[in-house]
Amino acid sequence: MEQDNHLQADPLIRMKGITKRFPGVLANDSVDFSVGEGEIHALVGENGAGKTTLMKILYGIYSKDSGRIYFEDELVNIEDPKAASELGIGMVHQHFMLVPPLSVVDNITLGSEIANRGILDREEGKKRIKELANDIGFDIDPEATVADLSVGVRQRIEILKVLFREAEVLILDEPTAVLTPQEVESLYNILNNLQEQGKTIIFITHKLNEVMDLADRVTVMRDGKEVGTKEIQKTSKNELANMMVGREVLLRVEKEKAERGEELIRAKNLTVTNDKGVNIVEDISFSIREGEVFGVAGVQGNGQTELIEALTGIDDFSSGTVEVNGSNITDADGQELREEGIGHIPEDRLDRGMITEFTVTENFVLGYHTFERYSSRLFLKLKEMDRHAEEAVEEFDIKTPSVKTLGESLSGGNQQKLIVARELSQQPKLLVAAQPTRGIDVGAIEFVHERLMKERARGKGLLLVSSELDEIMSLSDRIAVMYEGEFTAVFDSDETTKEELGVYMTGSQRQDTEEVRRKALGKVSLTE
Amino acid sequence: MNSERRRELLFNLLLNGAAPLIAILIAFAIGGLVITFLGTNPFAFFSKMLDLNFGSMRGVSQMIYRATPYFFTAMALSFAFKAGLFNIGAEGQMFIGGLALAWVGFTFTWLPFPILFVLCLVAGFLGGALWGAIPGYLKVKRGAHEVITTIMMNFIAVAMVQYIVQNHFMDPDWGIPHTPSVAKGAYAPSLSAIIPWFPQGTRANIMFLVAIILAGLTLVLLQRTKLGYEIRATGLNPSSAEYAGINISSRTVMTMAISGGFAGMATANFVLGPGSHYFLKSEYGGIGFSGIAVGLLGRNNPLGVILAAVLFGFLENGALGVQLYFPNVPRQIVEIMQAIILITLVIVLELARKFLKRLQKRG
Repeated sequence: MEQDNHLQADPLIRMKGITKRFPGVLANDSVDFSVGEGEIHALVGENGAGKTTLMKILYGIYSKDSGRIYFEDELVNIEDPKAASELGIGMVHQHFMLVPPLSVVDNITLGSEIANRGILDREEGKKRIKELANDIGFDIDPEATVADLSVGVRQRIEILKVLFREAEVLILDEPTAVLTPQEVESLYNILNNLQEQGKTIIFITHKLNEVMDLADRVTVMRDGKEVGTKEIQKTSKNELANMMVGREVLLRVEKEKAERGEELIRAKNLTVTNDKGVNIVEDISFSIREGEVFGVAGVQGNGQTELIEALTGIDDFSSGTVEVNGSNITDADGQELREEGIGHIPEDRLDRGMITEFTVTENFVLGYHTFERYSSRLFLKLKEMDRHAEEAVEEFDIKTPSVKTLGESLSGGNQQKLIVARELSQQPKLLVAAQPTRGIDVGAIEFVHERLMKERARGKGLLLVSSELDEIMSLSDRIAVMYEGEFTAVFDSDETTKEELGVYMTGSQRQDTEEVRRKALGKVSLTE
Repeated sequence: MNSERRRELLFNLLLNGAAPLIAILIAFAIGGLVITFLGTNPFAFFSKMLDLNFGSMRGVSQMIYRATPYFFTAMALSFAFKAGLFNIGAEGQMFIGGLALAWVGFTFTWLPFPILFVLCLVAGFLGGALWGAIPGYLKVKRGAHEVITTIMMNFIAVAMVQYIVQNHFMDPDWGIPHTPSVAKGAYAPSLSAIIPWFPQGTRANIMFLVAIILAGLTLVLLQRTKLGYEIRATGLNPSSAEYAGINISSRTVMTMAISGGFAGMATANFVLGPGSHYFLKSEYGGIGFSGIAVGLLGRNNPLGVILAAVLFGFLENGALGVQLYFPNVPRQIVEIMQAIILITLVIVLELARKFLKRLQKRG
């Protein structure tokens, strides 16, 4: 164990030898963890490493099997969240616990109402909320209805809720997972302000950039164990990534040279109109060749989802044509497209990509269950299905007790690996991958990226849609920027920068429409 | 791996096995209290009931006879549930299917057994399937919620069947409206004709075996066929099913049709089985609605549904017989108990889920 013991002589909270066992999993294995007063402490690790479990024990949501917790050097017994609150420990959960139809003030005071002889004193509550918000650097309308507020503001309400209960220690569970880049920026400010006020902050994350930007110290967990605590100045992203995964991790993707072959797909003038008559996707054309990755960058909600869903047969285009290997597949449904060799990693793994109540095997054939290798005219070939699923579990290193386990018991990263395994095992000619690494940890991201690049090297085509610019930049050969339903710019990936893409993503600049079209259709179109 | 699998199985057993059992015990306890208030010893009452059902093969046979139709209407609920649909229209589907199978039985009288018998079942299935498919179609095409449409279709079916029987098939000399009798070729053989040691002269018939076979086939359909896979996918996560290229609309209509088809065969037990051999509408009211309770009690699992149907057969058969011995306990006590089973089941299931959650939290 690597430990910088000299750091905090007198920690505020010390957790010693915390062990917690869930059915079949040792979530926390004799974990030591300590936080000094007034520090920002990051708790990092892959999905399923036991970070959230440890914090839920500290906040009294879970009971520990063994171990001790000291608060200000006194042995404490945190039985439930109420006990934690009394010690001044508050938690901002990953999934917000707000009542959307109620106002901000009602949400914040709920359960700790200020009352005057039984009469609710909302004015006093509003005053205190405004003060608290101003103290940490933002303004809030206490009478606003939560349902009308953005995710970023809701998170602030959650933070205010904790502060309102006079918390001195704030635990934040993956606070940036749901935020836009701008919202992340203001969260940083809020957390820094809180630190200035002397609050102690523990935040759980698996994004190493955040750790480097924000934390004073960082504790890394892996497989339920604590593998080390580091001062930020004395560590690096690479070191942390290696500690998290337990081996060398490539943060940059190795991109081999790939031979560009024949044109695989040619899409022309694609338009998707919604039921209100608005063009969500407008006049988009592109082509992808064998061994080429065509990236689509853009802020979420600019028509990427609609483009992909129409392309993969879930929805229909209102106009335009798509040709694959010369045959028109514009109106083909999902089954036909799969038979045509077009795979699809959907952006939402739980809402599209899998069925959590299905077994690993059943999920492994989802969409391909009508293929001859998995079913005859009436019956499923259960043995074949199991065999293929077992092979994929092996090859793609999916951590599951067996292929008969339900999808819901897999961690997010392994669920995503299962989807990637399914699509790649079918040897598609063209893979449409939307947000292929969203919400998964460093090790799994590396794995998915490697696999995608391997497909590229084998001459497969890839349409990659991602809101992670790093991902787009490192995987793509050509990059289109999508803004309000249109491609507003197309670049060769080695001719552009993240900053430049960022400018186009906000819509403040666009290339000439004809030029975009020509570049998106690739050189092939020049011969026309 | 094994301990996890075992734990999963244990949880399932607790939720699907223990919860219904507890609900049944509570229902008997409350039913016992009511009986006590009526001035009768509940232990004597229930032991008589037990004796009437299990005291002889004859009792068992009568119990099976009463249980059989519940299986079919319960399967209507449970099958639809697999696709995430709530078919509350088993009552109507049962009537339409019942009239259809009777019609085939008294129309194609020249056909021999088993051809006519099988044709009758097919007609019952198709009649119910048609009545079930309509709400399915309305849901897919118009977005009409199947709970509303299936309930309303019940009223239409009841009135329509009543009208048809009275105005087209009924002999004015008969006191109660019923159809003509089905031909001999349509008779469902009694169980004693198939199983030598079964007592003669009871009404238990081959439809009970048909029910068991259908339960098995349904399991196979759901777990081992492409269609079953697609039906389950549609029910569990329509959005992912859509992604997988499954035609949700067609699966919805098809599920509703199969579901209605189950209900459509419910009255074969009465119409084709030993007895009057005609379709007597007034005899069957409520079997479709009780099927909802039976389906829930059977946890929507075909084998569970058989057990739950037998329990309802037990109660009904017991109630009919026990009146002779305890005249001051009305037979409606059974309906009270059925209702209590349903209510307690819902509560117990919720409690069991909470309990399991706590267990998981503790680890």
